[in-house]
Amino acid sequence: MDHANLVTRRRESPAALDLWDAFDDLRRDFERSFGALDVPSVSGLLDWPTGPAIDLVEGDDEILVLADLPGVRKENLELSIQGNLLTIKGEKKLEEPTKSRKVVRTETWVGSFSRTVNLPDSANPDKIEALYRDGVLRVRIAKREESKRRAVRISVK
Amino acid sequence: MDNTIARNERRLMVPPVRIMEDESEVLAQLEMPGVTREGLEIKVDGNTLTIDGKRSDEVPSVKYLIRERRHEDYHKAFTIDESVDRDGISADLVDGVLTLRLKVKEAAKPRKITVG
Repeated sequence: MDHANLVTRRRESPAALDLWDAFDDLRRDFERSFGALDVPSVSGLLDWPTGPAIDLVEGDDEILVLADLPGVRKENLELSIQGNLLTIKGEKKLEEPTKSRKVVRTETWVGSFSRTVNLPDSANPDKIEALYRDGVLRVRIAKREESKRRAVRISVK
Repeated sequence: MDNTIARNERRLMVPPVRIMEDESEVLAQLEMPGVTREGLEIKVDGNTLTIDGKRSDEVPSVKYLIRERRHEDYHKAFTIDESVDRDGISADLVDGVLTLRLKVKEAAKPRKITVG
């Protein structure tokens, strides 16, 4: 086992990401020991099987919601905001099986989904902008003026 | 055998796939959100079909309140057998889904035999 690597990474990354890195290290160690196994699986043990994965990012001036929505058409995407709750609804579609065309392997899901994200209080729901491209939805929400980090010069008398 | 996950210590993600087939073609759909046409490379080398996709969506390096998405580039390798026509592979990338169509060689298709 490559303990040194695990420890170094843990120091570098924020607490929330430790779990992922620990899993990846574990998997890598496993693969080193047993060789690469071509297991028909999604890439991680804790990957999302039934809903879209999202990131919620807080920047200095804006809040960003990123959602992986492969197979969702822009027309089938519905965004709404109520208070601080941002809801992403949609329908994910892939090619459908037919009478003669059979599914031989599936590692994913299709159908409708709904995901609600609680935005931080600093979000200004009146200033919101959404862009969908290449299967990724990017929602930008401006921060309230008063919550923006600002350096104030204080004169010393 | 190459190690798809930990090659060169660079972390790669194996995209989830759905495969369907009928008598004349195999249809594979891979979910690769964040990949553009330019960032996609599909190769056939002997019996191996490899797909590499670079994520082009910018990953902000700021404070994450929720982080569920994987930010790695994609890599997937399929073994294709002799029944697949190497020249009859087509690819299409729409809304983060790569659709591959692999034609089955005429000789490999089932034939009806009429009784004379």
